[in-house]
Amino acid sequence: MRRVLELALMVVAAVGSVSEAGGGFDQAIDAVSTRVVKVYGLKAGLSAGYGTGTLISGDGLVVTTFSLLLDSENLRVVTHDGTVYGADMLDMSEELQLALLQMKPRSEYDRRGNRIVGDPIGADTFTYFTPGDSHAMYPGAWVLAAGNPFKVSQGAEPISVTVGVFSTRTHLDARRKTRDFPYRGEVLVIDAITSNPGAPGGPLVNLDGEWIGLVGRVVESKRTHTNLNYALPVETVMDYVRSVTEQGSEEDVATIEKVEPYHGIKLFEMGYQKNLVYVDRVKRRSPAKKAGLRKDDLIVSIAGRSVRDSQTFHAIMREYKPGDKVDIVVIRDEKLHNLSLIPEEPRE
Amino acid sequence: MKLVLYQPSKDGCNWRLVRQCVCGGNDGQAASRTRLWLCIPRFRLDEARGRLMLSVRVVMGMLVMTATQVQASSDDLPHAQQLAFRNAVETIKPSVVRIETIGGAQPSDSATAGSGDDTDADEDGLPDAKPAPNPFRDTLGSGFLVADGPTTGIIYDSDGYILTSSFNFVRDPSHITVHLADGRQYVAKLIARDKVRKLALLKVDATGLPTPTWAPVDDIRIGQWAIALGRGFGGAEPSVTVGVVSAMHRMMGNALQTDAKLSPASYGGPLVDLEGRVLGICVPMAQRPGELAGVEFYDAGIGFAVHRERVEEVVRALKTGTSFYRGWLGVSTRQDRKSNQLVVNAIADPSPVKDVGIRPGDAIIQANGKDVKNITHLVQTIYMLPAGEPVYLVIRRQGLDYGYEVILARSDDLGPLAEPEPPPVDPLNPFPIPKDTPWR
Repeated sequence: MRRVLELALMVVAAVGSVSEAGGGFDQAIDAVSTRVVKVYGLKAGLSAGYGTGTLISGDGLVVTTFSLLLDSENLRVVTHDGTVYGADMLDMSEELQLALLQMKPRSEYDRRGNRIVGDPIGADTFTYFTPGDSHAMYPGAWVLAAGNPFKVSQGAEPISVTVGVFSTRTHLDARRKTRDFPYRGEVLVIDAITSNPGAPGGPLVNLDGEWIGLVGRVVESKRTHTNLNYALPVETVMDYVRSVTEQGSEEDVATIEKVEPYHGIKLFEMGYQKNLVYVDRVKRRSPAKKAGLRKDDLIVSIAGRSVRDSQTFHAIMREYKPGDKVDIVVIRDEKLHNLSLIPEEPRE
Repeated sequence: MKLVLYQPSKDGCNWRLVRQCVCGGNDGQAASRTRLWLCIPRFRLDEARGRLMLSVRVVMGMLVMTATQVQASSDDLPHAQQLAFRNAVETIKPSVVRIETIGGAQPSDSATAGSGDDTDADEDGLPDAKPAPNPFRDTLGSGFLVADGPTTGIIYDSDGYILTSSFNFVRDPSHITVHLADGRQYVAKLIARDKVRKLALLKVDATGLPTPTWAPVDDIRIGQWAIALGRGFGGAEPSVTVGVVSAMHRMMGNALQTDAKLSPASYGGPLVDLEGRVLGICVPMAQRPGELAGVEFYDAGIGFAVHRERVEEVVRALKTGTSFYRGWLGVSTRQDRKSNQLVVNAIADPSPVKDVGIRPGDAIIQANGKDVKNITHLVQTIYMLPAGEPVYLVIRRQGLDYGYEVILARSDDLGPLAEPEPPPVDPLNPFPIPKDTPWR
């Protein structure tokens, strides 16, 4: 082995220009280390809530993961050099699992009642991330997650970095402990243990140090019943940040009760929601009839999404509006058939 | 960018070209005439030093540049590595299929409770002697909830045979559909399962399917890169996890071990090398019975993949419709403290051991030529043998040794355990105090 090592050193020396820093991960690590902050929030029991934040502006805008521990008067944010700042929570979205903080000079009193005056913040006090492109990632590409899991880093100590590969991009359908996880959008699945306590809210970067996602909390996927390590795509994060900074934190998305459009499919249902999705009856002159659905067809997927029970069928159908094209795959006579159905206005 | 990968040849003296490919750089350098050789030095390592030597290998991966106009972003090993991972994924991807199962037993919430009641075995891998309807039954219970999401398979031959893991069918689905990487989809038939190696064979009505290349078992080395692909998350792209081959000859020679994270998202999918050649089929495995045994290791860095030799042997039988079931002797045993021997406690009726005439009180001395001193020894000799395989037992009865050939049986063919005979009463010590009883 030593012989090979010498040979390797010789070759590297001869070429000269090859990354003198060695590994190649250091470039990415350099990029993250000054742009990640440690966040301390409300006390939960005896221990203070802690987490990680990602700097996205020179004047101290920090995006992090939703946590009730952030709902506190005494938020503290510690930068890479150990400087302590205060912070205001601008917005928190449980649905997106994101929160936005604005750092401010520390303003506290010590035990003797003397006021601690923190460092002032200017427009370019901090180095920060500009969003990269999460769609450029491919399965097998290296990713690095930075954060402060288990609070191992304190003050000016550098944050912890985990290396893994980008696994896949998928829609999250998950639960956290016993509750359904509110976020339902796309996530980047990471092949590395990144979602330890305290780590969520840190950035996920590619090999070139480009910011591609925000590390999320541990959830259990309903598709596989396994714990997932994931990050929210940077595009989702920035959309959220824009919605908060440009329009204030007012809720502008009204939740509309969705109604299932008329399709004319009567399913075989016996009161139990987990029945297989067999077509029991197709109404005359209905969209389903026009689409070519027949009695006893087994509906297996709608627009590429698996349909395993009637509950899912109705849930997916509710997402469509009258006039949309709905691609349905059915099993009929042991063969798959692709049909497309155009639902109409709901009828009473 | 032209990427040329070398791996050590088998004699260890030379390097062998394993892959040569032209690929675009991260930032549109496809047109640049950069030639990049990634040479991986020979590495030979024993298992104990595996990790250490691997890291040495990564650091020492030599990078030789013939041109100097390489941009800063691609002049290091990790960039070359992720391109190599990508190439392997692209090579194997057309052969990795998504399997959807519809119907069958619903996942029950009682399974999550993880109660020991529905498990048919304790840690030592053999059934308890507790009175139960049939202590040898193969159950689902292992505290893991079977999900109903898509699963993964791999095309075995171009005529429509799809190889996957039996794990994906524990719920006995009524309908199975197979979705190819190119979008074609079929209704599939489950031909047969191997519940020992956790494999299953499906057939779809198609021809000309893209088949993968398999790596010869002798070429596989501990410490080499291993990439697992799965379609358990659905979507157009497979999910990828990366690790190394951690060990060979695991599970009585049926599988190799990897630290790439395997989970229900990848069971049934391939584990491939950097060339995209299949090293094995990812399956959950453990040294205890139960269809879900081994799932508890998911994402823990302990994963198993059935290698080519065993797959070929098994698939030959599966194609004829023959399923494999775990083999059972039909005995419960106890450790005799006086003689320190493994003694037959009770025997199922009917059972293979009953048929050949083994009786309660017999001591099991040898199994398949290996000395048996305790239950672990016995389990290690037979736990991966399917029903129908013979086991050669040497029994010591009243000081004499007898040899028996026992054909292992399916759990369904075993009767209930007969009541164990009370141990013989020692006339000098009719009420012995058990050794483990603490003094109060």
